[in-house]
Amino acid sequence: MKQRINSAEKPAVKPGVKTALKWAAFAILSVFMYTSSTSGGPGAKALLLFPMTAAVAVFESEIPSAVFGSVCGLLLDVSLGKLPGFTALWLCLACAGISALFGQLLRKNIINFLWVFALAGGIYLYIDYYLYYKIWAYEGYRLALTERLLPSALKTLLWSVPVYAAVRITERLSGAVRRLDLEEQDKNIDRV
Amino acid sequence: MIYAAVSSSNAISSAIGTVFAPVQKFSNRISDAVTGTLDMLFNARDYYEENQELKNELAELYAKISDYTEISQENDHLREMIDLADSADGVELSEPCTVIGRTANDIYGSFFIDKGEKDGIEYYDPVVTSSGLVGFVTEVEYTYSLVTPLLSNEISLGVYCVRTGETGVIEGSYELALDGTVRMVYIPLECEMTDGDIVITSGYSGNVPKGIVVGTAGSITIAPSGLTRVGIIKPTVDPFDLKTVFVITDFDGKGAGYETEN
Repeated sequence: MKQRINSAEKPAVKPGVKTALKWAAFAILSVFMYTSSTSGGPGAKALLLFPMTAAVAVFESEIPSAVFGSVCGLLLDVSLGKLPGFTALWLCLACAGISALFGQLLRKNIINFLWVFALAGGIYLYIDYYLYYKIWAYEGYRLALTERLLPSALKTLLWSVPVYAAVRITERLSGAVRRLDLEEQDKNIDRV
Repeated sequence: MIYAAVSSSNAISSAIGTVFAPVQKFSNRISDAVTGTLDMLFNARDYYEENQELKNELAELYAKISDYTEISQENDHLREMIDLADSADGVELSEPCTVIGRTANDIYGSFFIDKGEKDGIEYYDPVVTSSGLVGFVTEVEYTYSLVTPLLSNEISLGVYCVRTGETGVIEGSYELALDGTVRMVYIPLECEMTDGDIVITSGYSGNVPKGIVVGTAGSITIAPSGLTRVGIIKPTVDPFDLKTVFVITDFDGKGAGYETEN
């Protein structure tokens, strides 16, 4: 059975231009997600930059994923009022890891994305809670977990599905998603 | 009599009118439509020019309304600044600062303002509105700053009751922040403070001028130690409702308090 890669078809737009447009789209999406997290009233908010970086890491190679994760991490640090670099460092490592995982071991689909993202997000949530709240044992520090961190994490997880879809569509439009087609059975091939 | 009734001009004209009224109406409509269409065709240029003139006039009116709104807002801000400047000695205020964003998922409601180092804002400058103290600047960048409200557990501030003169220190916690209140500790056991009493800054720290309204007293109970009382204070300013604030960049006695000296 043969496999054929369709990306060999003649592209309408130059690949370099498509790549530039794709990253421009990611940058615009990132800015929109950053502003959405810093606007509005009280209450827990979904932090859309987290699923955005993870979804990009699913489709991109390690280095671009790590760089994009770091930049978005810095934006998150500003929007969350955290020490600059705290989230950036975590997303740099996590995105490189996610990219490697999907590049070598996992199929690129929403189910795999969701559990990998939930795992990475859960680790970050605990580190955040431990270093920013639990370790200092402020009066009523558990409320930060129950009233803000967990509701925000759940909202983020719910929003990760449309974010993944948006990133996938962008990747597909830019021609970066490799599609494999199976040809019909070839009778000339001897099967054992 | 019958002849008279039948042959009367009123009855005839009424009958004719009844029969021909719909026809007349229809023909009138056609006539109007034709006249209107011809008018449009022959005077299209005039209408076009008139339309352009009206559009220009409308644009001018919108611009005037916009200017008026801006001037009105500026006037309100200036009045607020005058009120604030009168509330304490030697107070210097920044230009009106717009709230440009909020820290995501912060229980205390800390927010960013559009003024920073270039506008003379410094760390720990008090932030106020005409209603009272909002909080303190806790992060200063070149073009923007982060304001931490009084609800935060990182802020402790010396205050006293206007009516009774009893002093204390206000501090926040996660639990109280969810209710939008802070706690006033170290109130003397024999205090006369009651619900609704106004609490203002003592100015003892040197970080904030004396006499700025902080909030109103709620329930007052004996502290767990049994040596002092603890009161719940409702700040007069809700950090989640703010759109414009002022930063006190300088005041008489700034940096002269016990906290800033040590």
